[in-house]
Amino acid sequence: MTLIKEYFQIALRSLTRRRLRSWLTMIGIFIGIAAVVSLISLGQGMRSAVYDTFERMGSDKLMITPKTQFGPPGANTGYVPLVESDLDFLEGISGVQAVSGYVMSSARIEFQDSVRYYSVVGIPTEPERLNLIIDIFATDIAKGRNLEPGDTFAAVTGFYHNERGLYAGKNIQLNNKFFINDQKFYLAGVFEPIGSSQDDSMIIIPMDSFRKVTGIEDRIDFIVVQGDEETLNDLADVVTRSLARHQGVNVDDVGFNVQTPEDLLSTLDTILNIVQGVLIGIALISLFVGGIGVMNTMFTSVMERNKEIGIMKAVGAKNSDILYLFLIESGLLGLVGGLIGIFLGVGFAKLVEIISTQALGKTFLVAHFSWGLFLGALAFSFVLGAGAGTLPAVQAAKHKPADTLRDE
Amino acid sequence: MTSKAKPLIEIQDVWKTYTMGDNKVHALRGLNLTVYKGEFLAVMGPSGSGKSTAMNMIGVLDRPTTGSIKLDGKDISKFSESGLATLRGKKIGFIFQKFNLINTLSAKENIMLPLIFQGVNAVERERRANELLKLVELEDRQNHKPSELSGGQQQRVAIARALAVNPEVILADEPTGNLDSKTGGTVMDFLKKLHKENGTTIVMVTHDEDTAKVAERVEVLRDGQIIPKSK
Repeated sequence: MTLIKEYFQIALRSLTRRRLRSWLTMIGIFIGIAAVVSLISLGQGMRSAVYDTFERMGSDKLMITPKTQFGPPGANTGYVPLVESDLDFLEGISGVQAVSGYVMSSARIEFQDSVRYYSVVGIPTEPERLNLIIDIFATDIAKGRNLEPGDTFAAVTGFYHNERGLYAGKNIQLNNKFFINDQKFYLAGVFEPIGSSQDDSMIIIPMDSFRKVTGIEDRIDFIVVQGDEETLNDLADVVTRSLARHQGVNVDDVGFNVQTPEDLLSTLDTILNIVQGVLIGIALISLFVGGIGVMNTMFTSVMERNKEIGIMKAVGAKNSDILYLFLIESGLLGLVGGLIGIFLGVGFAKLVEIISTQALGKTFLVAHFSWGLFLGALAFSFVLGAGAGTLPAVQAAKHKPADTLRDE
Repeated sequence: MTSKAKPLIEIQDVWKTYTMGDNKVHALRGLNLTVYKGEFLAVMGPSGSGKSTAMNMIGVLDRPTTGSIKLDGKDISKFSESGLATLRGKKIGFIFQKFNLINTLSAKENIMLPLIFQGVNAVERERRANELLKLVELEDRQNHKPSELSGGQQQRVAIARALAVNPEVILADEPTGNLDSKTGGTVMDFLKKLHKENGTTIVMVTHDEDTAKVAERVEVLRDGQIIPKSK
């Protein structure tokens, strides 16, 4: 194998001679590699976006949510619902530093004679509870101000209401009046884009006003409990048991989930892994098909070049020389296919990034590229090509020169 | 040829049998042939006489069904396939009727090909190829592909390729078969010169009597055997 450079040159020559066929063969490889590269880089981007969001929320908070996975907030599940007074109860538990929560419902929004329905969220306006819940939203105010203690009919909304012309093409401007279930509110502030249409179209108002306009009493849809980061898992147990006892239900039959940020992250991680795994699995099938394409091309090539193989053997090529030549040739098909695939994959991932930024109004998804990914993809595509070329190369190496040179 | 000359290739009672369906075809039926160092031997025979098979045996491209072949005193049956390839690469230079150059490689690269398989380094390959291009008077065509060369030029590249490794013997299979008589004549003159000036051993397989006349010794092959000389 000391003459690997020469082998590469000879292999490259025969590939460029069959240019069209080489290109067609590589399509299978580069589509697969492009898919893998873009999926992995976007997956990494998605992961770090999720982690960033959690970092902003803080890792010292427990989230308590009702068990209503299969219905809108407040749907009757037969469980004891969470109520506003639970906030006061939880504040009394030792180790709990602060408690807050929100309640949520769909409401009729009217602005300049245009009527739409959106989710309205009621949050506490007591200073400590207000700050804690704003932390959870993990976004900043872009215009105007956040809700403040003492606000009554003030609202802070996602940027859709302010920029996307939701109301017959019109936007609610700061201090504009609009109606929630016929009660007049004014726009006090607008959030920075968050990155999901649901979050970016929500309307946040003080809890008391919420109850007044929706008629929903007591119910709470989300509770956040701030504790000490070190002992958060223990606190989660204590909170679960205490709240169950407070509600008068068995700890195994509670109607709520208590989750630590760790739980949530690992759940999200699992989901991301499954989604990414399935997509990459599909990409791998395409690579497998690409590999079969390489094998097919190489078998054809070996058959066509019986004579060439015979000549090389006549002038002293050993079986191993022929084997390496053909392996390198098919490996090169894989490698070049992989290289093109990487460029396509990067391009596609960037395109998704740009489109998602425009659609969401914010750079949420940044594709993460790494040399490890590129080198891995290249190595994989070379090995795939060479692997697919192994059988044809072995066949080529076994050719008897006398058989191939004899025919006239 | 004087009987004192050293035998280079000794073929003793070689049979080669091909199985075609249910039939067994004996291409060689007890071939006995010795090639001596430094001679110019022509093996003649009509088509179907076993010429090509004999050529494969002389060039150790194939193994006999029975019988023994010695190259430079070494029994080839003792060599592995790779060992044979190396032996071929070192000791035998082939010239084919259809030139058999590799189309994707330039004239010079074709000449260097045997050297690559012998593990000769790039500088030495280059030097040797230039020397040979000069010898076959194709220096100005060195970067041309075979398809850009005339038949005579291609055969000269093939001769240069055959000479690249300084082989013990040049094995020419109908070297003029694909050339017009004038070009063929030039190629034959060249082989003659090579033999005379460099003392290269040449074995030529041909069906053409005129071509065979150039050789010092002519053996005639018929039905897989060398016909004994009457005189």
